Amino acid sequence: MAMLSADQQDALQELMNVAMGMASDQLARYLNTLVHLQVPAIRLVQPSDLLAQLEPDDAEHQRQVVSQGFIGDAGFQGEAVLFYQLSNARQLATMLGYPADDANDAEMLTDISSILTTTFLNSLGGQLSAQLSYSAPRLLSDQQELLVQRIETPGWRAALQVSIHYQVIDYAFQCEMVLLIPELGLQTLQQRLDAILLEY
Amino acid sequence: MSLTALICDDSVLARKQVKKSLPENFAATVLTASNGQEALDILSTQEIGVVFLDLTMPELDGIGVLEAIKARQLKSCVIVISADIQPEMQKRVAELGALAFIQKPVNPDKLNQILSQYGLI
Amino acid sequence: MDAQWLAMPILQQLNSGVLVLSTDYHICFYNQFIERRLGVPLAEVRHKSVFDVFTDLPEAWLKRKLDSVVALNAPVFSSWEQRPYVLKLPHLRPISNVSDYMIQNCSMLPLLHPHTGETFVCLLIEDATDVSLYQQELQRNMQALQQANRMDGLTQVFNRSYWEQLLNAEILRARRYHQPLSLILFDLDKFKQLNDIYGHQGGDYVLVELSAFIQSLLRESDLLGRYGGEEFGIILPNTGQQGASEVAKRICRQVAAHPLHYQQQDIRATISLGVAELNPHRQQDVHDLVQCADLALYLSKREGRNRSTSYRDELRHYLQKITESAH
Repeated sequence: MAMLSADQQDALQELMNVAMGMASDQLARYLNTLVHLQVPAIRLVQPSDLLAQLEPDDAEHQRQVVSQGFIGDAGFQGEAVLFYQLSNARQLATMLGYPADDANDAEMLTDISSILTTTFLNSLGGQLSAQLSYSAPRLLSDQQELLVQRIETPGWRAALQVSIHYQVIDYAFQCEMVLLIPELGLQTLQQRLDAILLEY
Repeated sequence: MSLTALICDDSVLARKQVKKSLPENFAATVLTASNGQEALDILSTQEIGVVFLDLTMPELDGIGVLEAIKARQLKSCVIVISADIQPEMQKRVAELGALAFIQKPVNPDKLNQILSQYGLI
Repeated sequence: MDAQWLAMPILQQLNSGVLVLSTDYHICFYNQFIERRLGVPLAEVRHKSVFDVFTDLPEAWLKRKLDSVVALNAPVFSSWEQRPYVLKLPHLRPISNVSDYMIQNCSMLPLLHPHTGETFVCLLIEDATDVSLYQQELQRNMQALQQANRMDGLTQVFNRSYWEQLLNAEILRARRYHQPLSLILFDLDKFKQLNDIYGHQGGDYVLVELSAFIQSLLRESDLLGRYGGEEFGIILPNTGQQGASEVAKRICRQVAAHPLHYQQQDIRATISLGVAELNPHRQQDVHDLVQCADLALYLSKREGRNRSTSYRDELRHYLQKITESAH
């Protein structure tokens, strides 16, 4: 799956590192706490890899999946899909000021993922000179079959998996973000990366 | 006496960005290293005036390089150029002896200002 | 053409609500969409706190959202599926009774003033009343469909495939919580004869009436399903063999004493039953448990019908003996 040249991949990794740095700084200020970040590991993935993500760690811990579309001025577009565990999200929710007994998990999950997705993609888009707008996040976990179908449809050309690991003081929040990018979005991404590479 | 500078970053793009951001009157031989260990190897064989150091790298990270420079009592000036810009991290590198902290992507004006502040240009 | 002049008329006539708030929650602007539905001119409430103008706003919730939009310079969304509406506004479908207020999707977007750099939050309100109506309709249909998928068309008790799923789930549950579980299988006696005398419609009538009658004898937690032809099964959660055996005997008695009226005739139908309890010390699956109950049922038939037999391991030897002697 050599969608990106080695140079392009290196450039993208660097842009994502910077985006992640900005996003964690924003989050840290917002949560008023320290957020340690690790370098996001980036890899191009196949549909089968994504399906493996959906496998529950055990019966009681179903993976939560939230999807959010994004589109920028220059045709940079795609869908960001976040995978994480409910128990993991609850702690972050508490820090974000959600009442502990809030029964509305769906809203908490979509809020958290919207925050993680948009802070990261805003920073990434900024570096690619693409201002992004977003669709409302949607919880897909309860529509597993639909999701599997969606993943197996070859409508997207590239899927970039960005493993994000946030360490907030005494607990770790871990999630996988996958950027599904269709043909058009991929072309724009490559053009932007080439332009950046040419600039230096 | 001519100055030798070392840019240490695992990303080719980031190394190029730093190199290109250096002011024209920065008269130095510029070497590069793609991780902390490489940087230490270079530091132990020749005298480096200034190190532009990334923090998050494979093999040995920027913190490791700073600790080694401190332990070996090297005279090299270190300017950290990092994506991790949280205050806590800035404090930590300052304690380890870094001269300055620049946020990625590197801004040429900021770099220029720091270099002249420390008499490196 | 200079398109600048377009912005205001379009903003006013937009079929979505636009509400702009300052970072301290004061109203800066709303468009006609909101103005008309709220019935308050903007000039009257400009610079007032949004919480004073729109009563019943979920204050803590909304502040949390608005604050995060400002702090992270990133949008936040609220879907009608999670919160039917943010602003209490009337909808234009007074006939439908789905909700008294407009169902809404709301996007909260950060806005930067181009000159002062000041941040504002724009709330975009989309009317989702119709969508929610369709969604409810769809859900109702899905439920009906699911119900139809689980039921036996003739007798309106669970069909075999769903009943077996239930049995499977009950076996797992009984094991997990160390609770007893019993199974009754029963068969309508001489069903072929009934069909011969009263015709297939008469036979069907008996199946339907008996199912309803037996259902009425059961507890809410007992699960009656049609296993096939004239064979049925009852899952009895949290019931041991003795309890199940009493239930089976009672059903047997009451069925025999319950004449069915069909075309001015009384049909006396009887059933034969087999009872088995899930053995906690043996790894039994659906198949094993059904086999035990089926064996007991077979013996009820063999012993002269219209009776109930409880499964015991000895029955296997007995059965073996009688089949051997038959050869």
